Amino acid sequence: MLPYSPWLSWVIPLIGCVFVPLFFKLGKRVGEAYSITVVFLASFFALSMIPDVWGGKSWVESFPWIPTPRGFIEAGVLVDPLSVLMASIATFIGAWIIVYSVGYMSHEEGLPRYYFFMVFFIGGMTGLVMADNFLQTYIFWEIVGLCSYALIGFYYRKPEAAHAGIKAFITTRIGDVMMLIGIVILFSMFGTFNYSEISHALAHGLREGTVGLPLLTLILILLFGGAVGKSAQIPLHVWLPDAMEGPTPVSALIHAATMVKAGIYLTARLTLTIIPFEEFPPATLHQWYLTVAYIGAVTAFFAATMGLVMTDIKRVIAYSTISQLGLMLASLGLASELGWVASTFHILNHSLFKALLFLAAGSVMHAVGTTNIDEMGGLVKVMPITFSTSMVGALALAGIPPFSGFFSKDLIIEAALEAGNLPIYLLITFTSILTFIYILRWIYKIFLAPSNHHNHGGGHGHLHESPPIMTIPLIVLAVGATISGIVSEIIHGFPDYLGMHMHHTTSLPTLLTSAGIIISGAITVYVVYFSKIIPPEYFRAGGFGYTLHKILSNRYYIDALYYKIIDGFIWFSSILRRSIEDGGIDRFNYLVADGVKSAVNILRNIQTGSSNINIGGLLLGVAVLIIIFLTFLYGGLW
Amino acid sequence: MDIVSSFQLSIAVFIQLILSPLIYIATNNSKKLGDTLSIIISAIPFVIVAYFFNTIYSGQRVYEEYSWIPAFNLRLGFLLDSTSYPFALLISLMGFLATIYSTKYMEHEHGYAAYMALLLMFNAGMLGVVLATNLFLLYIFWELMLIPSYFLIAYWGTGRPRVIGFKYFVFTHAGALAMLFGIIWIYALHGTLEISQLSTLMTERTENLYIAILIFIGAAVKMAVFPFHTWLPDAHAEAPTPISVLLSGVMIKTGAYLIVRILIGLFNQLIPLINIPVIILALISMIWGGIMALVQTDVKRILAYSSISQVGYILFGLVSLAPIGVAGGIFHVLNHGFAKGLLFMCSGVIIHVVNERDLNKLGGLASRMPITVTAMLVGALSIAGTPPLGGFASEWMIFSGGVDAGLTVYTAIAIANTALTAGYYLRMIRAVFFLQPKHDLSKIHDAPSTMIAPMSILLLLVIILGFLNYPIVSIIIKGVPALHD
Repeated sequence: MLPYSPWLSWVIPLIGCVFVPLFFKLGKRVGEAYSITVVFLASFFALSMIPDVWGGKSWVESFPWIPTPRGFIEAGVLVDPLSVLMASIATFIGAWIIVYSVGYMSHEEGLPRYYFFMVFFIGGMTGLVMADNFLQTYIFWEIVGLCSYALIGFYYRKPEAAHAGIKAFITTRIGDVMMLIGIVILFSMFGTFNYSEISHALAHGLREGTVGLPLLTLILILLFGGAVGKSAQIPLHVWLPDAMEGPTPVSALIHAATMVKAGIYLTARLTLTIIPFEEFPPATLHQWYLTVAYIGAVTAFFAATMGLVMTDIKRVIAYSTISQLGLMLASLGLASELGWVASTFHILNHSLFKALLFLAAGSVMHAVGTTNIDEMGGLVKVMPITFSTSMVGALALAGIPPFSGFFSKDLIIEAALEAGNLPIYLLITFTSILTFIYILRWIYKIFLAPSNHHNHGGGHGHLHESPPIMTIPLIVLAVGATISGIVSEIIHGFPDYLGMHMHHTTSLPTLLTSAGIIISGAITVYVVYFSKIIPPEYFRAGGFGYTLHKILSNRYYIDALYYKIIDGFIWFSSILRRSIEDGGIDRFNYLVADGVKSAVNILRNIQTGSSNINIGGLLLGVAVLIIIFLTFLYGGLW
Repeated sequence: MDIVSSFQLSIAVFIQLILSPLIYIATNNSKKLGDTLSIIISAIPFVIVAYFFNTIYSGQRVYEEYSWIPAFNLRLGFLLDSTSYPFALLISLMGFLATIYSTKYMEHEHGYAAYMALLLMFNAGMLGVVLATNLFLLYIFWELMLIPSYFLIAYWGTGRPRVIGFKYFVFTHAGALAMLFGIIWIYALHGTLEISQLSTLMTERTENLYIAILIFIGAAVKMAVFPFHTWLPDAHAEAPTPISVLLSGVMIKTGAYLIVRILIGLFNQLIPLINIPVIILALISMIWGGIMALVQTDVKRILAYSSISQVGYILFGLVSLAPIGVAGGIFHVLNHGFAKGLLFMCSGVIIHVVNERDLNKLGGLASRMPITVTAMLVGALSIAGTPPLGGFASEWMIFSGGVDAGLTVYTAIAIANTALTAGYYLRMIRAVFFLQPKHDLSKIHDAPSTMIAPMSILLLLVIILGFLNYPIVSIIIKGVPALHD
């Protein structure tokens, strides 16, 4: 390990981002080079920790930070295989995406802002996963949300982009509110934010009976609410497809590889550190685990169905991201060690191949100047590197051996079978079939279908492969997506790294399921897209097919429903404003003022100058004063 | 606790008051000379308060007193301790920054010299309130703060300034009268108004409960707690912008000071009797302010309603009566003061540069005003409780206090309301800075440096207080009055 790696891996980008605008003042190339240097430096520090935690070793470093009436809150880092894995993903993939950005964003305005937020984000994400307490996690949790908001709205002149940024921020904030309530309750109960202290206190409380299981379940569900928002799970999934308004490298980094994984990370962290299986048997918390599993599996399935009909090149893979995140959560919700390993393994693989797919999509968009996959096609000859790397990503996502996705998906299916949870198993299997179909549809329409883009001039006059600064990151990620699965399978690398010594061999039902997924997916794709024996239009022709397609294209009308609710709230607020604020409370003030005015006018009539009235008034006043005086003196009347 | 006697506190309080005629004369003769003098004079209180930082941090108090009206057992005294320190720091710093800001923003206004003189008097009044050692002196400064601000609103305001100024005056004066009645009652019961002597005299007598309610009304009107809030959106939105900065950022916090120093400090056996209704008022304020901010179209009115909402958070923390909640409430006074001051300064820049404050007529300013958009975003997110900014650092303490006090459901509502806060601010920022510009913006430039300078200081504070807040938070925690169990 390089010295101070657990701190420097996130402090370097967090402090480094401040100087990004300054280096851009020296020149565009200087600023870009500086950003790349900072992030690569951070990634060296992060990767250097891998040998130290290999085999499940972990340690904590901390120092006093914020004073409270109950003593200090400490700032600290928790170094274990999970945090180092996430930190390495964030910094390493982040670094290559920054390299890619140099090519992709070369013609944009506002580059200092772009690189500032990208570097800031990488620092925030790494800080999030290294934190050893909830307060720090929450702080970084919101920092990455803020960067996401700023980068989604990068093209702020575009109404859709400005809107999507707000939508992302507010939707995730709803989850964050739940999470913060959970954190604050924990702090109030135990006076600490620290993961292991809270875990011990909870275990102690459960034994002593001071903490009830319903309360613990409630707290866990509240914390999980944050994960639902961040990882775009139903019912808070609506922001992620719209977030595709941001620049493509942003989608690759934030909305595929890293930030959306924060929710998975949090859930994995909860089950690893806060409620470890040994101290808190999953059977006692099965309500919570079932919630996690079902939200994940249902999201995985529904997102995959929407991925089937999208025509925007980035939205297809955005729905795919939601779907894959759901798989990871479902796997965590199975409450087994195998499920946990499968989920974290899928985090790694998915980060590699989904970042790759997004960067490839960016490369395509860069060339053709449209985002509609119906208007593409035939790009296989023009963009061989983009095509072959996308193919690697697609095959990995589809779960075809020997690419990485196959191995982790295999493990997830295995875990579902082991847990004996049939609904989850079926949802995962159907999701995987749909995944196979939509991603090969995507590949087919972009690269293999007959060319449709002759009437488009393309982005830059003629079609061409992207420059090396963009294709090299594609190749790096493609290599990663290819080998991460094989390496792990051959040397049992991943479970060993986590320190979980599982001696599992893939069972026959799992093998059959995997084979079934691939075969049924392949047949469908061949029949519908390649040979057109049953052309895709056929499915939209009938009444049922038409309705289904319409429902899917409109995202099950969930977005529309949310907009109705928000519009209703604003409408209701305006009513409140008109009737109560302006018409009620404020008018009442003026009524009082007018009343005083007319009272004064009446009193004015008394001022007749008649000495009788004057003296009478005087006496009355004296009498009142005497009464008040006596009251105070004896205190009796009160 | 050690007491450090001093002479600087009376200078800090009185210098702006005594020299304001001089400012008037000097500014009338030469704007440059007058501005320089005003800035220097308004900086003196801040320098003095900052100078005592180490003294307070080490747990000492700064005190001075002079004989005044022996017949009524009254002395003229000033006390700077860890309770008043955060307030004094906020008042003196914001007063200084608003003065700098005014020299540019108000330069072409009529009666500029009178404006500057009144501004300094206003600053002096606010500082006197938090440093006074007895209730009589406190009341005098309370009025001294009200009168100049009335003129500042009524003569330099926009819209219908006379009506709004009058409304402001009548409302806050009604509150002040309730408070005055409470103060006289205290004197009638206990024969002294010295806060230090009163702390041992307050018992659970029924009269004391009435007194507490009267003083609470005085504080609540000043803080614009629902339903006493309708003066605030008018006054804060129509006042000249530097005055809005002081009204929203600082003056309404004197109500919070009153609650901390008198209600929690003196009536700590009684306040648990009224804290649940007050918590509910605080919740209504934060939600109502948020809802109203959501449907406004005027930038400054959004900020004003946001102040009502945020005062709800401060009040919530204070009357949770849990140590961390009270500390969070006081810390939020600072964080909201800096952030809201910053936001009003940004709105002032927009008005100054574009001469427009209606959301429907603005748009696309981000590219022309990079500093302002950054400042506004940071200020807004801080108030919406987004880490790592200052607002979050105090809000989580407030929420912890709420849960500590057993008010978990109320706290959950308060936390949920932060999403509404984020909503109306992001809506405002989108309408002002993003989207396609509605006018030709080519001639528009970011604010002049005299306005950017105070904004930069506040921007820095808003960011730094989020994570490097150790010294100030430890002072605040020491300053939380002993609470009754």
